[in-house]
Amino acid sequence: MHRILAIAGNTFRETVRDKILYNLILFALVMIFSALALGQLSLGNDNKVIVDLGLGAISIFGTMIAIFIGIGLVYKEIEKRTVYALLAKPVRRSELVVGKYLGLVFTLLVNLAVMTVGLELALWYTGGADPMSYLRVLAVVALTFLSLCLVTALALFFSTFSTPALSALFTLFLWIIGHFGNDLRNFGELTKSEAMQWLCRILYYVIPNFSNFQILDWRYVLQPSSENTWTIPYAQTVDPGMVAGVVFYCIVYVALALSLGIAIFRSRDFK
Amino acid sequence: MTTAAAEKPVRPWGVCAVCLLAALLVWPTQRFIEGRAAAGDEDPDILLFSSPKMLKKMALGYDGLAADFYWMRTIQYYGRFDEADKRKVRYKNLYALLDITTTLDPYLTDAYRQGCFFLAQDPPLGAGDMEGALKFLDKGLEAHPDAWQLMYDKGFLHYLYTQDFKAAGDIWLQATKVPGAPSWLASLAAAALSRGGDFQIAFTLWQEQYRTTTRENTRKNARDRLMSFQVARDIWGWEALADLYKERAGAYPPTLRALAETRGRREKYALADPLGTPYRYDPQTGAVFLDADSKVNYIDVPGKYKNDLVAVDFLPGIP
Repeated sequence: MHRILAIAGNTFRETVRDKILYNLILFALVMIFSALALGQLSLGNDNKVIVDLGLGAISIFGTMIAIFIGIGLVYKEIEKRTVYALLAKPVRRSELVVGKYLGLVFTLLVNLAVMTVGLELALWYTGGADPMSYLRVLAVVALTFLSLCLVTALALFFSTFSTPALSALFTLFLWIIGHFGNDLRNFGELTKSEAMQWLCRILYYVIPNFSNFQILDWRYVLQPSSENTWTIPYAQTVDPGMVAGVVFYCIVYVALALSLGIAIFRSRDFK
Repeated sequence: MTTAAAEKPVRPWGVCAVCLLAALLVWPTQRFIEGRAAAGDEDPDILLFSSPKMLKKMALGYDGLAADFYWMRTIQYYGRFDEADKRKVRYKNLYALLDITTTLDPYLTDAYRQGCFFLAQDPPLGAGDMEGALKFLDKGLEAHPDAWQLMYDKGFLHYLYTQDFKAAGDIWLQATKVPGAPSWLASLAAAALSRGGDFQIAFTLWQEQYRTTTRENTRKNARDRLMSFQVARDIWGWEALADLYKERAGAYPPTLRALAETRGRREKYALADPLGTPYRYDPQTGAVFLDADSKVNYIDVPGKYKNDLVAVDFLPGIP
């Protein structure tokens, strides 16, 4: 554990030096604050625009950070041959992969915290949101964080055997297809071919379903005020069982992706 | 042995000159391109994606965000009258934009509540598409069957735009059965069903909208409507009095003020519009009208309200 944490700490230090990280965070913050101006064009839906744009920016830029940094984590060590120096020390290959993963996850957590503060500030600046909204934002961001953990695991898995460009493509495609899980299942049910139905069913369960992490949205954050009777009710409630299911789903997939990544990394010959 | 060519130092004034030259060239060039594009493009407001369901899939779960962008685009499409003037059909894509917005996020209920008015209002203020407006509200009611607010809006459109008082009364009556619906809906429904066409109901509806809306443009529209009622009442009232004067004196009074003074008592009609600009008066014809400098945005008041409106003793002012 101590070795894993040491690698994670080093990975964190390495990733925070990456310029791409700052560019992406800056861009995300610009997007979040641009919501202040955009909200004024929405005829009174300022807070909705801020929350949607803020959460969207956090999720999209978080995913980009996870992909673009995740794909290089292991590959760079091999490319620069620093992996030899690392493996010459009493460090297991599995510890290296897990340490790298945890390091990037911690980086993502810090980035998400920065972007969330930006979103909360934008929300506070416009006013009108009830005090609990600021806390409810955290719940939605927590789900986004889980999806980023999964993206990172996938990026790391691909980086154990592929080039950064291909790893980025594979991860990005999986992330996109992962939003069409329900359509894949429905498509299978519509076809008359038994084989196709099975294939779609298998793909539905194999491909990570990223829509699982989007069970909460602006309706949860901005609960309607009971004072304004002219507002049509829209409040979204949290199903704790569902949230627990999503957390477990994430853990299973991350464990699977890391295990496969470790298995591939262990079987590679660096001699 | 070769040596690297000596680089001259960069001169700041040279950089400034290049920037200035570029700035001077870019502006007219861009204007030229815009002019050419505007001339060749019949309808710049092309909807690249017209299928709401496809867009929902493409949004990758960021449906709410995509809906926001479509809603803002709808507002720009509707609200920029200068752009609308250039189109062959002012609001050809309005329904499609609203449909996409609400398919992407059915909970963006403001789109239903405001969009139906964008669609229903007669040109140039709106698309004049009453059928579309009602269809759009039905879509909203399908998504939110318990939204008495949408039922109220539907009744509002029926009452004030299609003048179908029975349909308005029926839908308001239906709205009263929704839990949480305000009690005044019942009296509104009763009034519409028994006294359909009464200007008092129309006036009350606009007053209610003016009082309750949180949206600036909706409030402004309601305010314009209410002021128009006051202006119509003053104009029709003065004209009726001028006609009476002519019957007795053989000619129209020389001024409105003279007419007011002749009567020897304080008239219930005002000599100036609600924003303070005096009415214009033509002593040859006895016609009274709004001054060209008036700040009131007058919207035609149906002539059928004339007798009731002139007879009413008091019309509440607008704050």
